[in-house]
Amino acid sequence: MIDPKQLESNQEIEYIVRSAFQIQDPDSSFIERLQIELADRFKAAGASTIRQNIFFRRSQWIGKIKLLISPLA
Amino acid sequence: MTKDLSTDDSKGIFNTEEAFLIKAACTDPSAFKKLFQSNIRQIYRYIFSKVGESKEAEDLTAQVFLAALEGLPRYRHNGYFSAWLFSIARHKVSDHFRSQHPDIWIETAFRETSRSGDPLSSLIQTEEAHRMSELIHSLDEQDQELLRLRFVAELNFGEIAQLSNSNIEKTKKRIYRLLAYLRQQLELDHD
Repeated sequence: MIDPKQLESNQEIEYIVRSAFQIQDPDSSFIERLQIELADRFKAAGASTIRQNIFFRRSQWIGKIKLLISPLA
Repeated sequence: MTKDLSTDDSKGIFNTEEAFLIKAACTDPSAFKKLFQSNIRQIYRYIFSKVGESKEAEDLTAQVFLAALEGLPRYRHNGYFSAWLFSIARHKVSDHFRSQHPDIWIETAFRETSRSGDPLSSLIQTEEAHRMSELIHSLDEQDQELLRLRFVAELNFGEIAQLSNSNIEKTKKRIYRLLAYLRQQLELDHD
């Protein structure tokens, strides 16, 4: 069982500790800008992954054809 | 606004919803956006309390999330996603200080202290906060960091333990011991 006096005293000291630190929340315009920036990066990263996959698949496909035609050569 | 830190420690237990979101965030921008939105405020607050300047804090916060976006496919979820983000934030802040200037402690935190409209109680609160600031500053860097992670970043004990390479019980005891010490010092001042 928590002693209510102790709890109150803890909350008080925690409040003073918080006040002693600099606490500032981010600006909403900053959050919006960063969200857009991250979405753009996400798209760019996704596009490059798709490009890499296409390239990878194409090289795999060429490799397979080379393997198939090599005995004929 | 501060969240109630006394009831949030279940968050450290593996959260399947969060795990699902993290997995989805590697390919789904809306999942990443949710992770971003639930962590941005804490990350920014933490960084701001270290650098004391909003432009620098914004720049470093942006770097943290860009690094997280890049590193997410390699991240292995262990129930402490916030701790992972904070470890990135810590690196970014220490890189910043290495290239700029040593740790700064700007004593402008006292705007927040006036809870009541009563000028006298507001003055007492400001003085207490000022004294507390000095006391915290006299602690070693590790202890200051523990208080910052708990009361500025509002991390739970599990997340702080993860970041400090310690366990939850030890972390909890250490923070309570620090609070008891700070309370005692303030009481000595009053006597």
